[in-house]
Amino acid sequence: MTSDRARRHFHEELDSLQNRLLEMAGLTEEVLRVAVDALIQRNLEMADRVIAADDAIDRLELELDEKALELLALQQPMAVDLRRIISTLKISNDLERVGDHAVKIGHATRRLADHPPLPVLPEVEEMARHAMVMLADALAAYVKRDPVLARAVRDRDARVNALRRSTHRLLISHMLEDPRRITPALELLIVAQSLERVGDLATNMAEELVFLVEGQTIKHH
Amino acid sequence: MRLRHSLLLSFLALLGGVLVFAGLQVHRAQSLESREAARQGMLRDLPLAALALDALEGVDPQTQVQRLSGATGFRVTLVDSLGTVLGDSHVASELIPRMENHLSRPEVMGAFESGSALEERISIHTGTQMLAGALRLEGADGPYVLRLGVPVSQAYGSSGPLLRWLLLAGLLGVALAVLLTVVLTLRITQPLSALTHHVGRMADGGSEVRVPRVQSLPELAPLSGALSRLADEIFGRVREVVRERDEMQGLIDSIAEGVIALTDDARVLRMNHAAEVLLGVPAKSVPFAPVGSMVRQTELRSILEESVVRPVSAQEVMVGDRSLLVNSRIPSWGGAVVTFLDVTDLRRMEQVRRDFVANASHELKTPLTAMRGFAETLLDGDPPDDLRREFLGSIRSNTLRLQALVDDLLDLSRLESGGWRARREEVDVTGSVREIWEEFLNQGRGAAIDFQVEGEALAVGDEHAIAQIFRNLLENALRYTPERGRIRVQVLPVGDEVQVSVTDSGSGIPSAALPRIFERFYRVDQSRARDQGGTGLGLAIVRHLVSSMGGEVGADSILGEGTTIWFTLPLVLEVGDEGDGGREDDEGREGDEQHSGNR
Repeated sequence: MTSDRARRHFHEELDSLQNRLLEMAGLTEEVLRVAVDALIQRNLEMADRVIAADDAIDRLELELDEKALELLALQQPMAVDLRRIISTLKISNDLERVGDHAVKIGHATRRLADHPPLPVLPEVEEMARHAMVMLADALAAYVKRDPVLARAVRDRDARVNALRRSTHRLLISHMLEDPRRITPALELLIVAQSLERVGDLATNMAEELVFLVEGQTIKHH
Repeated sequence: MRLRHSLLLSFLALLGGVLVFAGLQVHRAQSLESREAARQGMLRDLPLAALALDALEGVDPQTQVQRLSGATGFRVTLVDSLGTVLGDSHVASELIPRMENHLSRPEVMGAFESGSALEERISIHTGTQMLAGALRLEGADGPYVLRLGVPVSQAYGSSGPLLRWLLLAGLLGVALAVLLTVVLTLRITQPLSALTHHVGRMADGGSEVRVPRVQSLPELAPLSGALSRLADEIFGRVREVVRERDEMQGLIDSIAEGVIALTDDARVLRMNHAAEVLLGVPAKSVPFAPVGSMVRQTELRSILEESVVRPVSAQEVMVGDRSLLVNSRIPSWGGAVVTFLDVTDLRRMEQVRRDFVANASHELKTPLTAMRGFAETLLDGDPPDDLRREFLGSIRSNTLRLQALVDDLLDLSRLESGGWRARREEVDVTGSVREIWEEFLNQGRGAAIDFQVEGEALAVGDEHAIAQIFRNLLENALRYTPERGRIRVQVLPVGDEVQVSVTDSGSGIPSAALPRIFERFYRVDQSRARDQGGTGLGLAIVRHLVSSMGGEVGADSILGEGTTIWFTLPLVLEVGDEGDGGREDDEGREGDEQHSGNR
């Protein structure tokens, strides 16, 4: 009886861990979206909101870490439950870094405002869209425990990387064309880099999900 | 204690009790009887021994007793009236004179007094229990006593063999008891454990369990019968409940609105299919999982979690790129019922309608403004001839543009109002494309373009409509393809339809814009496209034309590499190839000359 109750309690703890993780996921997704909108609309107020939101994400990550470690230490879970907690740890870590990249985009947006407007390239917008869809899909795959969707995330990563390369080329041509565009172009380069990293992190999370569901690692393949 | 053990223990206790009692009784009876027999025997033996002693007259007493003892096995002693031992078979002759006075022995004393005596006592000489008998005899030197002695253990015989038999019987009894216990308990416990097993499976739920009738033990038959009825009853109810639940789930699943029922601590009680799709939560959601562990959009989370205390009314939330209208109420049993209505299409249509008026006015205004400018210039001054010609030319081209726009608008409105019906005739798709391309070349456009058409097919459709589709698509492709670009048209029969795709090597369309390019006046790049001409209605017209001929239209694009616009048309099937034509196919044939009669 007691072990039954302990198990139920443990599963409630797991649920609440997942609850917190999704709160963090939702917040991170929103912060990234606001960061991209701020960049495209050159909206400084939104950029400031992104920069301010980072603390909340960091706090959530710390909280999740603590809770996950506590569960690991006190319950010594096995097999699936163990993988679930480990996945939570890794995904929260990835999300925190996505948040950091959103903040980087926010800062870049602030600095871009001081320069004559360089139109945000459609390639960058496209990258942002892909990165956001990847993040959303990776998280949806995690919630749905859907390895098929997770693998689709990984396939999309190649598109983002290709887009980053062409952004790179385009920005260089902008810089060559007009030296006054060098600074804003460099900022956009940072943005592109951050977006690519977001794509990578989303891929990481998707791979984590595949590991969680199938117990099989598809990383580095 | 288990039945088997208690049964075995009681058997053993019973058996042990009986054995001990029987053993004691046997032992007692045996010893009484043998003692009596020994005493009688002794009384019989004494005169016989006296007779034998008479026969040995003249021999010295020690020899006499030794011979007598050798023949009978008794210890034989001769004692005279003074108590002096004359001879003792068990004592060496040289020790005889030193033996103590035997008058103190009760049997000797008894014999002197009453002629004969029997005594059972511990032998002073050997220290063992002895039966001693004495007989007074009259000898030449006065009376003396003949004493015979025998150890009790020899005289009585032992109850040992009998007890051994008893023990053997006991052991046999134990073995039998064990066997009986096993057999009996198996007969009881086997049907019981079978019943327990089945009832356990019943309790665990799972599939339906039939409780078997117990045949071997009549006492258990009513129980198994009752259990069987109970199982039938339970599974009947369960089936009923499952059916009701499935009906209910089917009912709420068929609602287009998403519905989630929450417990009062915001756990998911039930949700329908639409909610799963709209919120992107697992298809088979875990029962009673907290709603917060399934939904991650911050705004939606807070609405859902708070809905159990604070219901929302007609709140619009963006989930991904969809707008959901959320309503909730708190039912009588607590918790909350939250409904989601997907209003994305509604909002988009509202937007399209708003945009249409603005866009149409804008599109009409641009050429009008230009024409007005030119006309006023012409009226005001008297410009040189060549300038006047140029102005008039501009006015003419703007008029043409206006006319094209109005024509397109009229086409579109006719298409949208359903006033136009596509004819159904056989159209050579490839030929149509080539013809249109010729038109462009004749206007001096696209000469440097690498243009290729692949594949051939006959489609069912309206020849003019198909020509119009290609005119619009090629126009677009030309507009967005660089000078020495490439345009590829592919005509591919797939199943019962023709797939036509027009691929250019232009700048491509961002994926976010792809679903919207078939909207009226939608411009991918608001700043650029208008300079390149076009009414902004071409693709909208294409979509309507294709769908009125029973096809579909779509677009794929890779930014920087080009765009593919594709559409499908019903394929003309070979005569006699009745095959497994679908409904669309049947409609397609209706106009065909071969089949027009009887449908």
